[in-house]
Amino acid sequence: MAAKDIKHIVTLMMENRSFDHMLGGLKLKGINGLTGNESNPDSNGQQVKVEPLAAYQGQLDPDPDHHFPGVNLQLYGNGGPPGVPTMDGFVRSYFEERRDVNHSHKIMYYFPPERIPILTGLAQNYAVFNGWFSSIPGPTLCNRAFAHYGSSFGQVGMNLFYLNVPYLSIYERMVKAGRTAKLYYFDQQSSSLEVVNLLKNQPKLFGLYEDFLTDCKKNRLPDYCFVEPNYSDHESDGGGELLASDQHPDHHVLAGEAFIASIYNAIRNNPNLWNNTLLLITYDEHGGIYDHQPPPDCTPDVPFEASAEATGTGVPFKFDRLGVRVPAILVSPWIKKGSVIPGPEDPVNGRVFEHASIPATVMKAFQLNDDKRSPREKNANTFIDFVTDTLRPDNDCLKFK
Amino acid sequence: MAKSQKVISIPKPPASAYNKNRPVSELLWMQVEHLAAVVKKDIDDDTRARKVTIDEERRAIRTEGEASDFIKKYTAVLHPDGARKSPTRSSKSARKKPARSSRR
Repeated sequence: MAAKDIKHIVTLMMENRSFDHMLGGLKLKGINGLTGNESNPDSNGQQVKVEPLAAYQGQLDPDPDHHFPGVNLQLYGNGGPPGVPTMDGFVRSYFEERRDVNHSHKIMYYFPPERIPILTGLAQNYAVFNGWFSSIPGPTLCNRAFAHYGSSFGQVGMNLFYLNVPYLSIYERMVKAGRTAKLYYFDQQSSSLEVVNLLKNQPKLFGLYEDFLTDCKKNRLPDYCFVEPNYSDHESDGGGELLASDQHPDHHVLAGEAFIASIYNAIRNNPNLWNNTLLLITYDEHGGIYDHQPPPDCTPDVPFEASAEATGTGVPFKFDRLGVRVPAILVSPWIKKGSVIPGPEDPVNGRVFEHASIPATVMKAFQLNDDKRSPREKNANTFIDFVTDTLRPDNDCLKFK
Repeated sequence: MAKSQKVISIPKPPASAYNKNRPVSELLWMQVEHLAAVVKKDIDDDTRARKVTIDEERRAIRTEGEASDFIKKYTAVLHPDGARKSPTRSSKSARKKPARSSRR
């Protein structure tokens, strides 16, 4: 067994939490987390340190800004590109949401590892990426587009309408090559965030969370699939209460923990799947929450450029630098326990990943060829090589109950 | 001797976490806007009344619960295969709680 024998890749993409917020308190050898001394100035000029005081709900309300201009302030403080981001404008950015100095400090809070046992357990037992970044310093939809297409087609915001796009989605490429691929959304009340193009034009590519569970159980999991959490609190058709599980502030973080565990368990509990499936758990973007690692430059997404008007900063954007770092964990019994994949903090061995790494890896793993891909995807690092030749014994692999 | 397996209990959010009357977020609002746009695009000009209805429904949305009702209705148009019973196996709050009446 080796990377070539992986038969299924599953991506679970959650919402709006930064690396330091979720994993910064974790003590793992080599992890690029928090020392406890990181700080940002508030609007009065007082330095505000990171603190392990993140709450499951009720703390990040109103929602922190994560639009392009807001993230620009978070990254550069009073400056602006070019140059290395100073990562010192997060508190001042959050102050703008409520004009409350004390409340703005909460953007620096992070979770102690024991408060989020599922994500912590996965990180400790499989592989954590030190250098996985959102694809754009901006909001949800343009970032998710990189996971589906390897590009956002020049968009830096939430209004994606995909007219005459030059690249196929990874799902369409898989199907075209005779492979199977699917997007599973939670239910019809939650739906997909890929409405405009894929759900409208390619509904056959979609299934529900319930289908994911059944497909896992009945050995029908596609070669590649993407899972979306529940994006809203709503009633089920039977009248029960269904909690949003996306972890987007101000949704309860533990509902997301339970959802992540359910995806893991669906794969873990079928021995026919567990030994040949690679699960990637990541977040679309940081949601305006603090991270200390400056995002690096990247291959420009030629020919796309967002105008100064579109960015809202007065400066155009060539898609040549990444967004804020997000959690990413790679899960499989072929992954070495407690691995930390070095990122930009290690100039010799570090590798940088972003959401375009997802379609790039799927292409590589299933040996697909398609030259019509974005420059960002073509140059993205892939992660299939972290699959080792050693299968960990079943009793060495984590269980959730 | 066999190595003991690490087992972690899945945490449960409290019932009080549920709030379908939370004001609609920008993320859900964009879903609503996108669904309205794509469904309206497929409606012929002679059914202008239906377009107006969609816009009225869209404009009336204030809460997460209302947004999810709209999203369900028009997702069913785009993806009829998905129109079946909602899952109940996870992400469910611990007990049923009456919906709040106030809009925020």
